[in-house]
Amino acid sequence: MVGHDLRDPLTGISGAAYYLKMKLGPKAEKRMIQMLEIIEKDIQYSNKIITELMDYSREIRLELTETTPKSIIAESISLIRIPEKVQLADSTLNEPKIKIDIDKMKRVFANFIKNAVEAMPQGGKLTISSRASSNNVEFMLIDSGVGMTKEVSEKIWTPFFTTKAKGMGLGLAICRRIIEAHQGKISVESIVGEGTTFTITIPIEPRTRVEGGERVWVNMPESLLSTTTKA
Amino acid sequence: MGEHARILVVDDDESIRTVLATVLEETGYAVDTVGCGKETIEKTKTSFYNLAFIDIRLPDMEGTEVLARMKETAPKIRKIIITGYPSLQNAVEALHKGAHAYIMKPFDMVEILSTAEEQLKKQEEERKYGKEKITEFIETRVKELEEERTAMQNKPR
Repeated sequence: MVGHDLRDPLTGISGAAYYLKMKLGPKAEKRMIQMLEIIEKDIQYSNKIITELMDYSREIRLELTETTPKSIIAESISLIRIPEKVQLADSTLNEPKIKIDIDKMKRVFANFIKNAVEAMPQGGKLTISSRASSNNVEFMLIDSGVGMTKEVSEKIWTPFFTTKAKGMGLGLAICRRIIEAHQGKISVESIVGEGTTFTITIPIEPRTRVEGGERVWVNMPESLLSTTTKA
Repeated sequence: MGEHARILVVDDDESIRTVLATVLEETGYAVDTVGCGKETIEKTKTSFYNLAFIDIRLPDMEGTEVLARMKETAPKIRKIIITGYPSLQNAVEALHKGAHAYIMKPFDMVEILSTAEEQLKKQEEERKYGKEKITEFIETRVKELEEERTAMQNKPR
């Protein structure tokens, strides 16, 4: 369990920083407190990276619950702070009823909404809509942001590929795995300077692979099967 | 009770053992540390502890196995599982095997201290409740015996 082994040293550092802060007390030199706060902040960031790596490598187990396109998008939007300069138009529908893993799909949509907001640093418009088509529901997220070149849009699903200064490049790879675990698919169209459209299609009710249950397991990527275990 | 409680820290990572013991001792607890499951079982056979922090993954056995074996060696101890690999299954299994709380690594020391305090308080409440129950049982039994004796004395010969 790589995550467990990586979290052990972070726990030691975090505990030691806490002890020093406790001993120094509120009267400590301002710079010392500042340095300890940097340690604490970077521990949190390192832990976030470990969590992303673990989320990408562990098998996905879906817990399917009934909801609606409108409800899942509303819940996802509530997780993201939308700046005033970004206009949000949500026209997702209350129909049809869909069976999805709400927590995981909420994470997927929140990730796309956050990316869209970040692609519009000067402001713009994000339009989210849904429509039913045969046994599927199609979600469209259209932003008027900076857009991507063809080369970039072809690579965005690749694990560890990122255009951001800070980030592991696993966010979209994890999103795609979650969508695929629902037997869904995702596509992207983008024009530099005009914006990007993500289309997410998921079945109204994913086929479960376990008899008598609502759970779906997806194996971890083969490239990540060779993890080390604790001695 | 909290200030003098005895705590056992079980983790194979020396740094974690050191920082946990240091902070807990600084707070007023008496602390012992061990690095594996076998040592934990031995230690709890010979010494009394109010509470234990137990890493879920130890070199010689899983923390959940330690929990199960501690039911015999330290039935009254409050057990807090600490884990760097959180999952619902882990949490459920730990609670099923007798853990009283579950903390994720890297943990916040404030959370460690508040959880310890909370668990020790619960232990104290249970102890008091147990004592009250025994007292109540004895008082009821004495009353019953007295009633029986009075009845016997009043019985016409």
